[in-house]
Amino acid sequence: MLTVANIALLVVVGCYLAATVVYFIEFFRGPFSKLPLGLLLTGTGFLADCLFHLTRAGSHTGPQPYTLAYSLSNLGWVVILAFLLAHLKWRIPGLGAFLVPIPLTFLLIALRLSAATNPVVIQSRGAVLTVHIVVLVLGHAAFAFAFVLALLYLVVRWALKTKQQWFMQFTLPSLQTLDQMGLLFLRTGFPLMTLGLLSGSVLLNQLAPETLLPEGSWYSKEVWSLLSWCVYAVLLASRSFFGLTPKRGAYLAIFGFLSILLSLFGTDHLFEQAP
Amino acid sequence: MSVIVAGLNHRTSPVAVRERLYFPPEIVRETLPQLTASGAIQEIELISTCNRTEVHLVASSLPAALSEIEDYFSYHSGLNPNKFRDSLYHFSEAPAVSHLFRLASSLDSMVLGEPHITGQLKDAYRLAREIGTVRSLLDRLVTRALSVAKRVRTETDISKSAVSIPYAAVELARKIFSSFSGLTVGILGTGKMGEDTLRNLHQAGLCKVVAISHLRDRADHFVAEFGGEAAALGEIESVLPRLDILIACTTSLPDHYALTERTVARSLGRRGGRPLFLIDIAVPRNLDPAINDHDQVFLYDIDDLTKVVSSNQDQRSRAAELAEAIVRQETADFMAWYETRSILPVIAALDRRATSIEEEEVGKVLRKFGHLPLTEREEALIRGAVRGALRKLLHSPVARLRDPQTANAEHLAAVLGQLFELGEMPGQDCGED
Repeated sequence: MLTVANIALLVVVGCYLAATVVYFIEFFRGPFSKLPLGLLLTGTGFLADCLFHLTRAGSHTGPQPYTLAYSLSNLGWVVILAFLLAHLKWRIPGLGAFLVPIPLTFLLIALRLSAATNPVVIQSRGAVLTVHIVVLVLGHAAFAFAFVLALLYLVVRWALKTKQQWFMQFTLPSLQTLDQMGLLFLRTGFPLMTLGLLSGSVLLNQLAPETLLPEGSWYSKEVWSLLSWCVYAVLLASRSFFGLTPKRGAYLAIFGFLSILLSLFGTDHLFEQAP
Repeated sequence: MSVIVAGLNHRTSPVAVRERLYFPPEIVRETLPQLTASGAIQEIELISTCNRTEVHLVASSLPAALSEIEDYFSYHSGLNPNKFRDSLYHFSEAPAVSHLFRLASSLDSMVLGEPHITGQLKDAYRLAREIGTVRSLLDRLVTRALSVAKRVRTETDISKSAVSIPYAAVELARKIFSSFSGLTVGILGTGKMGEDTLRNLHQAGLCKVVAISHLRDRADHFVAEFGGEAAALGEIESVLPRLDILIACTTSLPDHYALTERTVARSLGRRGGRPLFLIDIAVPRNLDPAINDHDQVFLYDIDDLTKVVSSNQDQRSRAAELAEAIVRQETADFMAWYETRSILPVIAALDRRATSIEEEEVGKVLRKFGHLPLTEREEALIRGAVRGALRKLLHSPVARLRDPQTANAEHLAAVLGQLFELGEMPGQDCGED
């Protein structure tokens, strides 16, 4: 059925897809024109995403149905919001080409999941649930940023080390900037994730696990979330106290975010059959 | 009245001629007004750089203006005109406009896209305005040339990347470090290119310099110019942990590196993970290539930097094609204005004549109707009818004059002026509109 929410969602996907293409072309060939086309498309997609969330919230009178798809679309929304804010503050060239595909991927997965997943309605659990969802979404968005900055760091480092001539024409941030900003996002995301995990365990004690998701899924989610937390803890401690090089730190930031993705939706599928 | 460009540059004359024809600003200030006083030249500016000496002028006769310029160059350089006559080039009208636009956009420079020429043209223009040798037409032309240069710089990549070894090194350093403020640069040896690289880095904001040399007194030479401290070559291992950038340009034997991989490896532990950028512009190389294998070390030798420069030059050449298209378009636009500017006073005079006839004829009619007071509407109708008739009569010749396709527009304008007895028209010659 063609509802306002559906149309808004189509606009979001279309805009983010077009923005990704524009950012990639601009990354390799320079800007099309003085008009910030990628930013305009991302901004339009973001507004449509706001409309989608508003219409969706308005259509439910009772408690919100919790689905992984909904969680992913929230995460995508926060990542784009953070991207737009980061653009206003720092204007990091090349970031859009690597960052916008992340919420786009989240949305595409969410679209695919939403048809297949039965929503689990969580009755109001007060502040704990709100804190859990908000801090985890914010923390994951910070890690998504750190992931993209780590990717960019490795690309820039590789180009400088191997003396790639084509690379010289790009106006990418310096290695030091990418490293420092990546660390900033990691240091922001880590306490949020810690708080998210703590509130999650409190929530688990309050709820019967079977009312949320299948038991095996929750078990593997906890394990993977804890693993991700450990990766980030090791990364931050090693960078701060044990002289871990930025290159290795970048690899760990990438691994950490991949483990978050796995804990977010990979476990539902990989470990669905787990006893 | 014609727009003329005349001069010589690095392509047409050797440095022995160019250095004699160099005009410092104080000489230009003193002597250029003499050229306009003679009457052959109405407006003029002179640009003199290490690669060119060129005049941009407005004159009614090309041969007379060129003769004046030759005499001027000869008198102030002390050279016989035969010594530089063959090196002189000159353009008039559209080719002159195009040349000036290309010059301002750095398309005629020795290093394509170098930014200094625009500033030098701006200085020459400012000086000519101060001494009153630039008026309406040249003013409009040079102002347009400067805005074309701005357009070329913003719409193309012509001046985007470095095309010299020292600038390429600075550009690479910018890709590693977020800011130059607070960084320490070491210079190993006293080579000229190393000094230029250090100077560029210093101008970009580097604040600390450590000069390392076989001889302490030679290192002191750098310290005197850039500040910082001097160190002997034997102290390099103790200095290395403090450095962020090292420029190597000393003499060494092949495979006898001044800085080995082992020395660097030992210092890395004391660097706190900071990146180290090594620029080896010496031949034979000063720095062991194996140093680049270390994680936080980025080593570029002279070949690497030359490749960067060469790649950037290719990029500038590609950008120049787009810049040339902009210059062509801007030249056409300017010439469209330039070719109609001489007929504008005629059109204005025709308009004044039509208005005066209108006033005269309407006045006569109104006087005849003096005993019958007319309403405002009736008076407006009479005025409108007279004005309409006059406009219809003049529409066709004026439209023909304004049409850029019209050949001999100036001649037609002169004929119109005579037929309508328009007399002397102010500004017709000097291009005022």
